[in-house]
Amino acid sequence: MATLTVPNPVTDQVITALEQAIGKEKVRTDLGARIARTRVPAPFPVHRFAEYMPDVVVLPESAEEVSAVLRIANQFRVPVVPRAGGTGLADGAVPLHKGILLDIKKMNKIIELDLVNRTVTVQPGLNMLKLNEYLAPYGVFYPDDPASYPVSIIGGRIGTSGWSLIGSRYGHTRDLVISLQVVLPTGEIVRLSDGGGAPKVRKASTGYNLKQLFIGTQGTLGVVTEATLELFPKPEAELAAFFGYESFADAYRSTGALSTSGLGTLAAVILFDERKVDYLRRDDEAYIPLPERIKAVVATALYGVEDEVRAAANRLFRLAKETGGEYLGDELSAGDWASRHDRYATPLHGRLPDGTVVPMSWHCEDAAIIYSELPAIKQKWHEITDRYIQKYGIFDNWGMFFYSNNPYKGWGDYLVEIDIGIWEQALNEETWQAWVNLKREITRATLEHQGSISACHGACREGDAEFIPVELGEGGFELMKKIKRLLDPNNILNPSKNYLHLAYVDEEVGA
Amino acid sequence: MKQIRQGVVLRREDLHVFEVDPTLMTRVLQDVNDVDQARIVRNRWEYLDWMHRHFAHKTILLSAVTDAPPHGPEPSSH
Repeated sequence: MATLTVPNPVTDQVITALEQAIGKEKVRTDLGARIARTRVPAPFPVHRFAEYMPDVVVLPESAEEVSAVLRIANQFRVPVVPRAGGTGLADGAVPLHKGILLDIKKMNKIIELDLVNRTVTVQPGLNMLKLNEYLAPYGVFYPDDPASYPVSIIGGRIGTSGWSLIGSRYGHTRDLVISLQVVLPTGEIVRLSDGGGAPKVRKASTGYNLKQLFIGTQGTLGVVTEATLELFPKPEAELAAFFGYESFADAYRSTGALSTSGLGTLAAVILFDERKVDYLRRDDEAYIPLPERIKAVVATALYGVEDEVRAAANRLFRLAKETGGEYLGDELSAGDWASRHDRYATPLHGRLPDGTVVPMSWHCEDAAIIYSELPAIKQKWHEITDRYIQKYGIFDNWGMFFYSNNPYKGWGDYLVEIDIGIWEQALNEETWQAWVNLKREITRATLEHQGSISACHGACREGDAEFIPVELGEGGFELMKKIKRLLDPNNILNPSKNYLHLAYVDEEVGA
Repeated sequence: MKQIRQGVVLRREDLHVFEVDPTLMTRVLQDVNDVDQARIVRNRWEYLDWMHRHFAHKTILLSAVTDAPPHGPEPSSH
């Protein structure tokens, strides 16, 4: 039976070994490099910032260099945390035990564009916007579209199994990755695909489907060093249409009707609840002029060839009207939709209970929940959040979104998001623990309603992670632990994420 | 500057620039002059237009292909 592996500190000997392996210029120990890679934009215990600062940052440029770093980490038993854009909102890239921070951003080359077979092979440090700028002259497009599109990075999308704003038309990250090159925790370099190993084959039944095992691991099982991706024709046309409703119940029913319409060009259906509309009417210029009778909003977007988009628009408008929707106009629809590709550019502020503005960081709860449970989860999450706001006064409720979550189709389950502002400058250990308890209550409600803790960012944070064994069940989590131990015998790769420190504890100790 | 509703003012009617009521901004100070304000608004619209072109060759508006009204509902009177 394995025993708990306590990570060793990074010593001068480790630094020297790293410098010799990949070059001194790719190994940084200066404070600036380390501070910049300590946290992500999600709420953070800033009063304990130093506990999470990595000891050293490495910037490898190839699979061989990543392999060398991981072999050194195994030799000295020091932790390695992979990091891409650092835009994930669930702390996947936060070093819980300090150690080596492996930044993949220098691995940003396009290796091969295959227009005949419609694939592009890239290193993982590339940004999707930059990739699409390169692809545009060829008339093709890589449609992975997070809210952090201009700044997030392909490796991070794979590490978190990202969700795409237009995923109901084009699929999400896991559906768009055809094959991967991965460096395992012990340093071996392997190629993984949908069975078999053919790097450009999308559907195979040969052997295990190992590719999917390495998507969404939060860097706990390996470091992706190359990915072959799906290409689509760049859409001829897009059309965004936002509709207002006089009640959440009407908007909810309309969401169901629109998402099951069968329109092939429908890329997204997004429901905004009353609290979200209140928040936008308070703080977003596009929504401030909305009349008070509008209590909820449904946003839709179509992408495809122009003939199809035009025809679908008629059906979409008719359905929205029949279900109580009032069109909110071209300017709001087109403008707000374009801004949804880039939500991280928005300076964040929130309100104290007296209405005073203070800077706040953004918590984005991102559970996956089936359609039938949406009204009940909305009520519970707001009750929980409002109770903590009333007691502690440093949180702000920014309302809820419900995004279509099913790849290639709009129905079924939804990415359910409650956005909460946290006044970080006012945090101390008591209020941080209050925040974690708020998170725990929200997570419990998710599981009570047959949901999954995370649809896109992952369940790495305190308040989420301890519920992974509950969601997966005893057998499922036991299998996760076995896989982790098998591939990472010394627990060096992103240790303690996904509650996997339990993989290295004797059963009696972990009980 | 015109009060739109509780907590919101209209600072620039020509550019549709709304702001939080300054009495609520005592902890966070914001000082943007008119020239910069106009530049920020113009750049924002340019950026959104660029984003449309980045994701599709053409943006179609619902009012252009259906009988949907191009403008949204009239604001409530305050």
